[in-house]
Amino acid sequence: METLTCRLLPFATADGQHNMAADEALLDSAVGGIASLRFYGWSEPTVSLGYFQPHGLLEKDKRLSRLPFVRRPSGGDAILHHFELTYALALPAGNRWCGPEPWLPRMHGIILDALAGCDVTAQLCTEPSKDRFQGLLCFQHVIAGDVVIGGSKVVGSAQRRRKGATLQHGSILLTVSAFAPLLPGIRELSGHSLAAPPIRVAVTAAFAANTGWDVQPADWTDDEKRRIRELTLTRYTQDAWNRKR
Amino acid sequence: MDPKDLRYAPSHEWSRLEGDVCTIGITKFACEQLTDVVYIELPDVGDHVFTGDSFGEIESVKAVSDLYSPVNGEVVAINKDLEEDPGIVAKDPYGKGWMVKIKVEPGSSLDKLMTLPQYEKQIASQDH
Repeated sequence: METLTCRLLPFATADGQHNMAADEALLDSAVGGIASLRFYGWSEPTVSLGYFQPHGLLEKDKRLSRLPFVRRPSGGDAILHHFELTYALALPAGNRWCGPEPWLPRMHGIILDALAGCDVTAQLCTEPSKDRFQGLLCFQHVIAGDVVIGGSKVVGSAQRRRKGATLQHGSILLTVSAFAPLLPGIRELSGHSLAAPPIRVAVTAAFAANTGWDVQPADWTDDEKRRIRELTLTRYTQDAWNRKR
Repeated sequence: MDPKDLRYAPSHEWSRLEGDVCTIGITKFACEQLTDVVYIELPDVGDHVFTGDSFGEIESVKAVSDLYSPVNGEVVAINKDLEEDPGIVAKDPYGKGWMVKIKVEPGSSLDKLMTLPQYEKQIASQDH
């Protein structure tokens, strides 16, 4: 059987506009048949809004409205990127890239395994959500498949699909932020203070074990670098995008 | 509409051409894959759409997907009921869940799209 290859791009820290442009560039590459996994940080505390969320929701929050924000290409609710680790997974179309389990719970299961390897016990929420969430932050709202510790969500993810390819990105909440003091992180919930680098290594190993794919370190292609610059300038720095709703 | 009378795109949109107006929606299979539809964004009447390009977007739980036009033409109607209740799409994908009506260019046809048996064969290989 053919062994599939998934690129592992280098960890990088950047502003929200660049990060979202980079993730969308990965989706474009996935449309072209290239699978990628990356982990990244944010150069300052930033809110990413879900694609369909009205930015007016953010303006009502006294703490979070002071922060820079960017609209994601993916669905779901807003994420505060502060003391967290973000991942992005971009997969081409086709059955060989998906198994019997959808990728949202599958990736969360992989992260669960990685956390277990770091002596953190978490669970996948199995309770279906009862109400349609009307709030701002993704981590205020637990749905089936989310990673929780003691009922509090510590990993949330969202997707964008294009021409059969999938971009899935998500956030692993390491520590509570002063900008969202009611959302405890892994440190507060488990007593384990985890740094991002060992979690990246653990999630990458768990991902390779789960998929059986060849996870190969790689760099961005020149086309992707151009695409990131283009998307940053024409979309993710523009009010027409970020304030479109 | 009877699914047997429709044509299908690989990206799971169905189409029906009556005269020079093509009605487009998404299939029952697509609805099942999306699960709970929470938002739909459709083009404005008067917009032009092009074969293979996105004419709208749909959000299910946590996932946003593009909707692709199988034809070139001008949008002459959109289903405004979907803005109020996007769940209609899943409840009645081939009836009340239609999305847009496109006035196609002269000479347009849906011959390149799949028939129902061809589409069923495609989804049988994707269903898991």
